[in-house]
Amino acid sequence: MDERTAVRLRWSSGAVAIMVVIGAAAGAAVVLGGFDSSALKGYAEPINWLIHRTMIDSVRVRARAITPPQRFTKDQVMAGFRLYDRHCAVCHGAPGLGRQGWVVGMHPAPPYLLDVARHWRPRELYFIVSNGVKMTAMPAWSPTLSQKDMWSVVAFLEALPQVSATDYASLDRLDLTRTAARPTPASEGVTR
Amino acid sequence: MGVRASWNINLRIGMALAASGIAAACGNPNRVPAHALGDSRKGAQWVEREACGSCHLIPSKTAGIGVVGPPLGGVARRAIIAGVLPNTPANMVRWLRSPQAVLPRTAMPDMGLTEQQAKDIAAYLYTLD
Repeated sequence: MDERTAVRLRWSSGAVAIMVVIGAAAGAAVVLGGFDSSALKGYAEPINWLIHRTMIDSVRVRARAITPPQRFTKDQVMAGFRLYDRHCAVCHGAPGLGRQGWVVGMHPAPPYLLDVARHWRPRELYFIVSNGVKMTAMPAWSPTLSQKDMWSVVAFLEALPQVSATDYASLDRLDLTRTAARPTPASEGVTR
Repeated sequence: MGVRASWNINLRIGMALAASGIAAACGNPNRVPAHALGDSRKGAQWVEREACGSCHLIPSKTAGIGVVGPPLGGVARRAIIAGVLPNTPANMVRWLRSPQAVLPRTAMPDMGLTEQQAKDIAAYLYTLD
């Protein structure tokens, strides 16, 4: 071979050798328990930021394909309230209501959702509810809830800033829409 | 060394200690140094686990972006907690442990904190710039 080819070959085989060494080192680090999978230990702040940013961008882009309803009705908000109390309050709490005790053991910590409507569009909230969040304990709800139900949950999330602790605690007096309160069956939801 | 030399050294040590004590007190209008109230490092861990940042802006925490309650930076300098309680360590612990006992309608959740957890959290909060 000519000299130019020989030089190229040397550079590329050097690059390959470096990649193999790095790969082997990373593999060894994992196999020898170098990564701590404990939920008690968080990541460094820059890693937290990166993970969070990745999730935000993933949701923002993928939710563009979703068309939300034009407006949410009061029936949807009330239905969402019951669904939220049953499925969501356990991990996400509610106005005045803490999460279940064992939730402190989760990493990442499920957030309270009182201001999500300020941070996310409705279609993005729907995407998160429907798809869940990988590598967290947030389930995808599309296998278990209908689209109608999931939009109701989003409707309730949008209404959350109107809900005080006393409102939330008294389901049958809750009236987010200023009409006469409707009797609701006793909720199976979280009490504390 | 002579009596005068050791007295000078003791005086300087004493002044340094007094200065740091005054500095600590000036930084915290509650005049209780954070470490006397609780373990602020444990408090920082509890703040992360209890997801306080999902309602409150917390300096230097990625997850502290909430716009429900007030920002917690500089909370030690604030005169009143939740608009109703004078800001003292005892009141901060009281607020953390039973928000609805202070303000029935408040969105601040009752997190079921023990006295020690609340003290550790309060100690951490009082360190925030």
